[in-house]
Amino acid sequence: MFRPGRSIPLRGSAAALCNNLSVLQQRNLTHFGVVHGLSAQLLSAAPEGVPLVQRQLHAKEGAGVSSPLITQVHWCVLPYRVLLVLTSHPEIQMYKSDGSVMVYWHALDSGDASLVQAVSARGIAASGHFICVGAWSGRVLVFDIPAKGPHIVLSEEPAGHQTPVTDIATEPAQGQPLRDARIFRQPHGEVPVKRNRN
Amino acid sequence: MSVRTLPLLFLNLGGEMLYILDQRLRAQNIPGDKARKVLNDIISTMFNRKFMEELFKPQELYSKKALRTVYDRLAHASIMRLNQASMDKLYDLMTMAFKYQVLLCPRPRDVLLVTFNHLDAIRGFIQDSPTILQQVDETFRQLTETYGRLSAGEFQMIRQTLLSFFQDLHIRVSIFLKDRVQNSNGRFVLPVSGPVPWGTEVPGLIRMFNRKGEEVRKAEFKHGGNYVAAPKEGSFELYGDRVLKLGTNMYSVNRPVETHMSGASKNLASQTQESIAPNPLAKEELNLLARLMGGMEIKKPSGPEPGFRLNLFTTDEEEEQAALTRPEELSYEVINIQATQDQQRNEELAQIMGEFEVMDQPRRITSKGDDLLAMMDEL
Repeated sequence: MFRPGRSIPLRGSAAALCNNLSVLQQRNLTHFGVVHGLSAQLLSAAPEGVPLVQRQLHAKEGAGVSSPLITQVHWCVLPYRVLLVLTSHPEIQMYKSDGSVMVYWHALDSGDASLVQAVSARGIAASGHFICVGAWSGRVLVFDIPAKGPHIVLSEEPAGHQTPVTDIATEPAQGQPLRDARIFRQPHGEVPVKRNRN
Repeated sequence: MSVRTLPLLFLNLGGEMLYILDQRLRAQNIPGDKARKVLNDIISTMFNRKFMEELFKPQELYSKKALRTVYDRLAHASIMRLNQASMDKLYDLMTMAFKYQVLLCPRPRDVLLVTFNHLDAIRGFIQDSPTILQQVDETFRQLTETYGRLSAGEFQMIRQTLLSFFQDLHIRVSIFLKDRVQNSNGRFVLPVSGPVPWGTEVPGLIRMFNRKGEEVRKAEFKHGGNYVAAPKEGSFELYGDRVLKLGTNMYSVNRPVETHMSGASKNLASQTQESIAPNPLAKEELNLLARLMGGMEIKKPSGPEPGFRLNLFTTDEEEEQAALTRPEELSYEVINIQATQDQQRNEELAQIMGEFEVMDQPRRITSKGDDLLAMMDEL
């Protein structure tokens, strides 16, 4: 089926999370993103797997959380730009695609969470000029991303799931980039499908 | 980071500790009544009501070193003594065993079944002591109450928190190597055959749906594994068939437990931060630890019962050799706090550290940190 190619060593180990690898092909460079635990590791490689740049990103320490774990790292390819999104225990961070500058930061709303519930996010996908992120509350946070600049806005938070969202995938509809379907996976095996209201 | 992880970590590691101690007590031909007393004393301390109350409070995980201090104290809750090298080996085995169990759990929720397996076995150790049995049953109920209604997403968070505790630990355990569940580089083998997790289907089928949600097409694919459907779900009741074998006792007198120290990890940078940088939360951690251990009632060795030393190695020479050759990065110094600036704070921390020595010391009350010291038991 597949043959192993050349291996590229990372500075640290990969956490034992599902689907813990995000890949971005940009021009002739390949970028890899992996969650280590307290940090996310980014690696850029030239063709033939020659490693070029490595970088580590950390979650910010929220109030009362001394060691926030990162749950996912994922590149979102939007019509006019690419953003790197990190989700972790207390927050969502968005960076320029090479991880050099943070452009947006969103603290997850504890809302109705009791003290003991783990307020976290997981499930990242791009849909047109939106970035969707799944949250512990079952809601999906939809961020409106401008063509450039940090003026990112949380545009809606559709509810409808009773349990934490663990994964999101999107599908571009043919010829109609604004009418996107979003599929959310929940831990109990349900796969609800939502359509963009526009 | 889930704040409900500590009870699961503590109980499962404690269970593994008891399996190993039981095996060594039998291998070393310790008289039955002494062996039983040791296990009874440890179990009774572990499941002490006050201790359990502290344990179940929502809190972050301790560092590996802090937790090691708790087990050090627990292992010495009776007439048995362990040298540093044996205690190190015991802790290595405990951590690698539970790491294996968490990693191999089919569903995140199954870590609760692993915990129940440990508790079922612990019940077996103390069958003749109704009081301790009652304590264990009470803990069962507390586990069910705390974890019974958590969603799969919350268990996933617990799983991630547990695995981050064990990340980058690759000590090779001879029993795992022999059974081929661990490779020679210390990594565990993930099976590609056997039953799928309960509630999931055997892979091999792709279903395609149209926009109305109706199934329109099916396609099959080969995955190269050999999976079967799960026969039944393990029981989460007080008594029942757990189905899952993870967490049951894998040691017997004829299977000596050895560890091989894996070579120094190539990347020091990949070590968890706690081992290098001074921990700014050291004092907070000590406070938590003190509250936890304050709930531990350690019985003083009483009467004419003489203590004895348990050796986790086959000979005393082996134990000495192990102590000399243990790699630096795997040494478990009992809370190595690098207090940074404050002279006064240094003294305070040093004093608190002193209280952790397993010796007969009169309790010292000072003006600073009275409540902290007051929480600690006399040893």
